[in-house]
Amino acid sequence: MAVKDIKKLSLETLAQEQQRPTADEAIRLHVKGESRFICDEPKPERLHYATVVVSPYAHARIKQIDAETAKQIDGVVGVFTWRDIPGENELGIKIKDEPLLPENIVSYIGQPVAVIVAATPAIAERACQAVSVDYEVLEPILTIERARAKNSLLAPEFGLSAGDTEKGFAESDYVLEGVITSCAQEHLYFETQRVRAIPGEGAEMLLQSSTQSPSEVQTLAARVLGVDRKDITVDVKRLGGAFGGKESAAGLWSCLAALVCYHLKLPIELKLSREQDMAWTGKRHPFESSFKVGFDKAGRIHAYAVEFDADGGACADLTMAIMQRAVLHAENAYHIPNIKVLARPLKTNIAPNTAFRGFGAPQGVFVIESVIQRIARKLGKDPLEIRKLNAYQEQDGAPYGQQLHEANVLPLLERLEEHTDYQVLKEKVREFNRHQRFIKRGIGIVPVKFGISFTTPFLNQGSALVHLYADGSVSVSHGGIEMGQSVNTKVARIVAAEMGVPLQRVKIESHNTKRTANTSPTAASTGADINGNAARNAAREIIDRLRPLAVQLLERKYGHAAKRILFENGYAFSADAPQERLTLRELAVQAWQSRIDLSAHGYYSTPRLNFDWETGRGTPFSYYVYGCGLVVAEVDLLTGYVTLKEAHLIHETAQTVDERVDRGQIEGAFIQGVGWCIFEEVVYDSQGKNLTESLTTYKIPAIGDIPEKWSIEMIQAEREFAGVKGSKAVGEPPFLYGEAAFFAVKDAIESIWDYTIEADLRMPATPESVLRAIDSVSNKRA
Amino acid sequence: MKISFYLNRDLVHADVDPHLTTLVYLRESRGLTGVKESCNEGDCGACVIALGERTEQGMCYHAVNSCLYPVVRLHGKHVVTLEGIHDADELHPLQAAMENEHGAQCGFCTSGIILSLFCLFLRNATPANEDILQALDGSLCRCTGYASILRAARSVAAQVRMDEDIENHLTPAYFSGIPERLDSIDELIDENRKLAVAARDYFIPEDLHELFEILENVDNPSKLTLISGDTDIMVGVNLGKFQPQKIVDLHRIREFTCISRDNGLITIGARATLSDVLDNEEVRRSFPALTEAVRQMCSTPIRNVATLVGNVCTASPIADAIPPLLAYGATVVVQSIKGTRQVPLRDWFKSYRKTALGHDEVVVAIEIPIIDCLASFEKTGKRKTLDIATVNSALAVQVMKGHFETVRLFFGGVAAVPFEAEMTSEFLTGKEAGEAVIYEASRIAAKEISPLSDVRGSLEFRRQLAANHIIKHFTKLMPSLFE
Repeated sequence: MAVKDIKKLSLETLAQEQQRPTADEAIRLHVKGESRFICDEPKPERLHYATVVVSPYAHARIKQIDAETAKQIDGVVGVFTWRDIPGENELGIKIKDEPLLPENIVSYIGQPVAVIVAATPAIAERACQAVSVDYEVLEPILTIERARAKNSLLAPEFGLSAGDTEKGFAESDYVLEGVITSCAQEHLYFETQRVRAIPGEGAEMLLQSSTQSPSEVQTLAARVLGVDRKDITVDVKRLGGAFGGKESAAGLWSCLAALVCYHLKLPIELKLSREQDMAWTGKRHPFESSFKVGFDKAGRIHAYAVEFDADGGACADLTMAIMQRAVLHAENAYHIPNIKVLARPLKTNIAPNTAFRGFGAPQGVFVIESVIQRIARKLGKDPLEIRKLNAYQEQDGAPYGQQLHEANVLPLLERLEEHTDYQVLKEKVREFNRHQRFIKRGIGIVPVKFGISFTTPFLNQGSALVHLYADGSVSVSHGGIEMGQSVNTKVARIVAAEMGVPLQRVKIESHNTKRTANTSPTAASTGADINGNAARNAAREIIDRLRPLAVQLLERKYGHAAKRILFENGYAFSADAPQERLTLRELAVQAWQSRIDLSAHGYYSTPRLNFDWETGRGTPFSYYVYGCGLVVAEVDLLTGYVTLKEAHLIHETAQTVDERVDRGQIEGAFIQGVGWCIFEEVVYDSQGKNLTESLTTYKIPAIGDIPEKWSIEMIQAEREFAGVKGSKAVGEPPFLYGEAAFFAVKDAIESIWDYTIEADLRMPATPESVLRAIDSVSNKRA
Repeated sequence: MKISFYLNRDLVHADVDPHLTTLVYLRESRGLTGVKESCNEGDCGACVIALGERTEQGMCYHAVNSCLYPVVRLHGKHVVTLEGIHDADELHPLQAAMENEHGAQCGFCTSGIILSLFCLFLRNATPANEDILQALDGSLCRCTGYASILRAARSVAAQVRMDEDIENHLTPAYFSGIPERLDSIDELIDENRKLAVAARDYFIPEDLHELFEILENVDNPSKLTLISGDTDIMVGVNLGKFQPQKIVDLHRIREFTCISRDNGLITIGARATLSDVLDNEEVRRSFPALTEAVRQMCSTPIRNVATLVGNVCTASPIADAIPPLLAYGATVVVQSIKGTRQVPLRDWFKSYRKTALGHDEVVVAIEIPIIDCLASFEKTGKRKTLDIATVNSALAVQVMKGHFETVRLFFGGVAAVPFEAEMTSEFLTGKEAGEAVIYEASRIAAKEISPLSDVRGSLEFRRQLAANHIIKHFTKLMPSLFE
């Protein structure tokens, strides 16, 4: 068989592989009800339950904690406060402003002040009620406005600029100014925050934590207990959803469990109820952004100045990094020659806001996209025209100097236009609106350019540990966390392809800090890129060690020289004689008996990255993901209800590792984005208490809310600048298409007055918000 | 209490704490951890199980939120979890389709979703898109955006359409033996029955006689909590907001009826679940606004358990079924040891969640007179399904020679009790039907109510909704007026 035919053969096997019903182990377990999450594991002997006493005040001084009554309750084994912390009482990573348990000041409602351990959850809950804490109530800061007025900052403000905005404004035909707000969002992972802490011998402790950042949990637990990281093992099999909410936020709960486990030497379970989780944990950062934009008659933007004020909540947490990403996405997909961006991380007395899919990018992008809409209204032009006019071109550079390779914003927008037959669609919508009095339709479009990599450069590293067993099966541990995004499926596919073994013979193990150390959080859409590449390196190393042995064995078996050795479908063979082959099993046994190491550690660090916030210049991203989305929404002017009639998403996946996984990510992220923009409203009362602390009052999109007509086109082109095996990260970017739904609603409302007036529609576009926007336009007219 | 039931393939005899939920029982006592807890109040669907009951039409399987289902009610029933929907090592077609379409991402909602679909497909092997959406209206998913789940469900329906043989695979083979086996289960054994009423805290009366005896002999009747579907009380219990001292569980009362029609009345008995009401053709024909309200109430798994009578007794000022029942002129039928009395529904609500029901009484039915009128229901919340309304309303109106006659208009969510908009109704009565009159009525309605601001909406929003609902009702009932 010629080399050409061999290539054909491998393509065929690949095609078969893809056609076969999924070999995704986790999904098989899920549909059979056999997949296990932390609280599904059999209970260890003498498992005890921890619960926390939390602050009922947004800001107060603790005068006294009296737990004597609670301690007397039968079944209570201990009550712990900051006094019981043997190590450092600090959870902050970069900025040290977050105690595990506060000594003096509580700074948000729901902040734990004491931990109770009891034989049953019910007793622990009862004991909580019996703890009396004496507070001196202090004045809280509960709004962005108030925080700004008081100059209440978590960290110094920062920003970046390019060109000369003043000159740009001076040269513009029009200058607009305004304020754009975006709202909070509850993560609503289905599995609430939880952890089991299991004591071992000596100082050993195992933490089964629902975290995206096992190494951070390990670091923090060691820090608060005053022990070495070697003493703490964090093991994570899978999470029931996370979306950023378990990146830094899981540390608190894990450390509380670790603290009581340390003292009691008992297995401890700490699990938040749905209400506790919603009431006590941080959300997506709400932003209030003031902008000034200068543009010419055609709609070309000459200058853009924007100040982001984010409500960071009570502690720095990840606020700085989130605002960095907002700053680096301030211009979204548009080339703006003169730009100035400022970020103000504000400190308030609500639960520390934290990572959430998109990580600041959705907030930053929402401002420029709103600005584009305003420019279009001002000029009486179609917003799409303004978007196309300002879209990045291939040769452009981002404001921070990174060259945008393979920037295809414009081609994708044109493709979307063609795919949806945009001009006809637009006319149909206008025709509909002319004939409908109480229902209006609108169109929204958002292009996306999303930078891939942690903006903290050192986090861009992955690791893996691969064992080839002597029976030819493979065990892979890697630095990623499986939370529904199927990073395990992707890593398994990558390793299977690299080692030429069937997917079923590859097992992805739990993430364990003993098998992969110093790992980065599974976040920033990088999980598959960095850990998939690391696993690939490890797999390749093992295969390389096997090659010489394979040559020997093939020669011995078939009696002639073996050349280039290929590994496919569980066999090793010489490229020129594919029928003469060894099973990987034979080879592995032989290798083992020949004392060849069948295990390898793999490592990967993303190349080319450098960024300096001092100068605001550098290469923060490994590559960009491009795409665009169009939504047609229908608004009932009497009830304010929104119906998504159509959604069309064009998304660049490049050479996807798993098409179904990527499709699922695009669909899920989009609907989550729609939730943020249309449905989900976090409401606090005047004292800083979250009133939307249950699913009864907080509404995420349900199955009836998805678009009636929905198309997704995945652009699978070959890209020079991409992630693992030529694929592109997919977790976060499609979230931003949800913003198109918001602009579609706004467009529908503005149709009432023939697009001459801008509606003051506030996010989220709930029925109340929609009716208020209609009302505000009516009033303007009156 | 000692209960017996089938759990998938196995007969289970268990001595259970009646206060336990089915969810906790299945996870903690049976180790069935595929059933998940996520919200514990019937708002997410992660805990949904399939529950089979013998009916006159044969076995009937309903999706039920196990977090709101008292474990004692499993007696004599067939509980089905993911372990029980397939034969041997084969996946059920729904499981296979969910796997193939990647209908599971994190996997936490998957069990509830598959079991909800399983119940749908047992009833209707080729469901239309709307049927699928309705069957899953109680199941949230935060990962998938639902598209893959829909594809999975549609693909099974398509397979059945292509090859009817596949329909046989929808029901596991062992199901055929279940009815007979359920028949052989003995009566529920409540050993506490021997104890004095005062010494007991959970009662499951078998008939009205026994119920009245309990009501009569209990020392402090205000400590009794009567439960029907228990989907409201249980939420408070699960969240630690309400701890009933003594529960009287009415689900086995022999005399309770379902839905019947005679003498120009439709009677909805205390046994009738919201699903019974929704599926009833007579109700749909005579009271479309009630059907519409029930369609928009809670979710399929809750409607399968909650009763209409329970909704009337809970007396929430925002209960969806109440405004249409009021608009249709319903009457509450109340029974005690002394006999039966009828209370017009408009006299039923005394104050916030307080009704005219006496401590010695129980509601046995709701009667609705069949009258010729136009009627409409409207509900606005934050989401169109599985949400509590910010404002709901129902309008019943007769139109004679172009004039409005006997106008009955009721709002929920604008006062401590369901609210009758008397001024608006009075204004409309006798007026010639026309757009200007309707707009004027909507302004009167907005003024007539004095709502509060809360997490579901501001006072201003509620006023505006009240006004807009009036217009909305008439755009549906008399669209030609707006042309």
